[in-house]
Amino acid sequence: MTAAPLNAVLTTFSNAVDEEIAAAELAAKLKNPNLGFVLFFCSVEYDLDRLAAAMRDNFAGIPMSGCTSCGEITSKGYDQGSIVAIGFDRRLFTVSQKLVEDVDRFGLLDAQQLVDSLLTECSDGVTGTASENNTFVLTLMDGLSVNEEMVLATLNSALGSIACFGGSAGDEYRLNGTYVYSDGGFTSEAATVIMISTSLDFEVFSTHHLIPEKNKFVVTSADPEKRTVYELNAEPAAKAYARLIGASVEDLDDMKFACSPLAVRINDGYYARSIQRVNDDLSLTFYCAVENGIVLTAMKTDSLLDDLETKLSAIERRMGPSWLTLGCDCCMRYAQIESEGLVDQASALLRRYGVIGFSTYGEHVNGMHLNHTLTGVVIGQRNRL
Amino acid sequence: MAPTAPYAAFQHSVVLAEQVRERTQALRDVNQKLLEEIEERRHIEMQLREAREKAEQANLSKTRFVAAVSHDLMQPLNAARLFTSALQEKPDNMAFQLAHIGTALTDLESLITTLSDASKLDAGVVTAEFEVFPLSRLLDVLAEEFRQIAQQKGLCFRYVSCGSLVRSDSQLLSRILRNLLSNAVRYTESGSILLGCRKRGAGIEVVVTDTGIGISDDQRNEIFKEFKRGKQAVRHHERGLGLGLAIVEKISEILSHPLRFHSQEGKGSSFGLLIPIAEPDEYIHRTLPADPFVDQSLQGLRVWVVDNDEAICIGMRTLMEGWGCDVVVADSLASLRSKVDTCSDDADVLLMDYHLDPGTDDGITVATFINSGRQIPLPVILVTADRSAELKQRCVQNGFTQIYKPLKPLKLKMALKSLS
Repeated sequence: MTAAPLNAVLTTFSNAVDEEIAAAELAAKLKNPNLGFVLFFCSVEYDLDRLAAAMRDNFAGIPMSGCTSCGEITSKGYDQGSIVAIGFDRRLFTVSQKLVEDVDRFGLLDAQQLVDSLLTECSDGVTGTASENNTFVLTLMDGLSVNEEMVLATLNSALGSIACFGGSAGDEYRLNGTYVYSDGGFTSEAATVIMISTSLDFEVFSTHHLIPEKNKFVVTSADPEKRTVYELNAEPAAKAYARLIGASVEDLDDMKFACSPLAVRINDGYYARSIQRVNDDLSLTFYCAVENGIVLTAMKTDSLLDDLETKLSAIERRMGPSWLTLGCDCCMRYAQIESEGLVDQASALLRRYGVIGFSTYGEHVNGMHLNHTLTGVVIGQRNRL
Repeated sequence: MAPTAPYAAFQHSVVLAEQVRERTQALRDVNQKLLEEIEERRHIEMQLREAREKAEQANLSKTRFVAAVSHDLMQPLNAARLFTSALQEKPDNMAFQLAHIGTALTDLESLITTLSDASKLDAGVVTAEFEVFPLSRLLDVLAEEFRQIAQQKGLCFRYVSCGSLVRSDSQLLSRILRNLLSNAVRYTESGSILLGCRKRGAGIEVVVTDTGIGISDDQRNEIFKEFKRGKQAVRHHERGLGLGLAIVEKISEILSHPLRFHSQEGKGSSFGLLIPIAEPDEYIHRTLPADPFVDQSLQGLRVWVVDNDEAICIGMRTLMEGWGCDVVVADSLASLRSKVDTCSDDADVLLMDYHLDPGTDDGITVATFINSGRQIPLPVILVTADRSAELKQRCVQNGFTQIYKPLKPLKLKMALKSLS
């Protein structure tokens, strides 16, 4: 048996419609004696049970994690209806993963136990004792579970200084059901927590391109548990928002939400709250947490591509060439790029920086659940000092 | 109303993340500063190490030099001692023995002069005093001198003169050329030595070429270092301190006269010194009167000598009394005044040492004092090892004649004759 040439990660994707063919195509590209872990993101077009079975069959014995997406980012850029996968070389990465079921009951004790067991597994691998210097955590979560804030904040407390990022699973704006894959099957109302230890240099990042404008709303009526705002400035939320952006309530759609986001300000930072849909009662449901009494600031979008280029090139300057940028990209960003007709340019830029990932219903970074960001990790080719 | 759980959790996470970001930034700043400090220290350490290496190198070089120089200085001294004892045993061949002692002492003196030159150049006290003069005035003398030396060694000496005026310091220039010519003679076994001039750009290049042992390419940079002699030169077993070319290079820098050389091992060497040409209107012609003293005797010349070194006083007395002079020696002004009346006694010359006992007035002050008490001031010859321009200036102002140590009998004789 000859060892494959050292590639820290291998990435591939398939546009095959048939689950079995798609899984076989991925396996043909990724499988090698040093394959230690597979991460994948797939369209909800697939029959998920069939896909799960096909992945199990094709990657027998290889640990895998993944989730459904609102769109994939492959080595060609933005894609839809496909499945994209990353294979990690066991000589450079030690990966441990745990599924969190019942995300609405995930407490601090659970979090500590989970983190302890992940750390124990990772410390047995390529880096020795896992710490913030050689380890990061990826979270994938049901994007319609409305539980990200609690789970992430709890998990973050248990992780301490270990960087943690991820994304909420999507379903191509259908809002029917989003799933994470772990232990051989797809699950909803769940999260998968993946701990990755490596001696390679890495940097977890999160970037957005929004600038605050003057207009502000006070949320005067909301249901935080459902992330639904009934009234802005004591007016039906959809009407108030439609007037702000100069549209009628009937015209409100994902593109408008994407191009005219709202954000809360905490201290000096603005954190986007993306609108998921307009409800029949003219309330607005969001992709992340809202609350009675908070102030939502109207934001304008600056050049997404410029911001992306600036951020990724800065990391490249610091870190040198990279193996991979694993990206969790807000579905609202794709909606904006699409409405601006910049999909090809955006894809070229993502290719340029080797971004592989998916369109999310929300991004996670260090305990925060955000929207409108590209959040991820750059894995460098050099070892961390 | 307190925010409900999800939004509160989010808010909490944001605040926490911000704190982490701030602390990370603060740590990064401190870290950066530390790195800079480390870099700075590393740099300083490197400089220190370099300085130490240089110092050690210099120390080693000096040690090697002291060993070499002790040997070189002992040789003529031993020779002199041998001849002296021979003289004690067999005084019959006196002139021959004395001549050899004289030669040995001349060698010794030349070695010590070289050493003293090198240390003065090292200390940076030598400065150039530029004047305009005809180059031939200097070269003619050198050519004549080295023609004889070369002929003694059986070498052919060629000299190409030049009529240009140059701007240089004739003393320093002469020292360079003497060094180059001595080297040429020393390291040439057969063939010829050329002292020549050629016009190059706005200057005159004085060239000293020989058909000697030459310098190999790998030695090109070494030979200008102090105490370094080319491999071939060392093999040559000639006496020399390895200071010649170091002195030449240093003086050529002081004079800003570019020095260049080329050489082929076994074939010979050629050194060229580029000297700026001066315009005729810059030249103040000083005609020297024909030497009127040639046949003048020093018989009966009354000389007062003040020198705080007893040995020198005795030497002077012996020397000048040999010339028929009437000599009074004293180690201080007080001592002189105890022997003669400095105000009214007749005398022809006052020979003053410049450096008298520490804490007392210098020679110029003493001489000025003596003359201030006399109706007709005495001609003064100031004897000194101090070659500074300042002292020269003071002598000129007072109308004193200056002669330098080590005192050469001929020079002293000339000076006495010119004043008597």
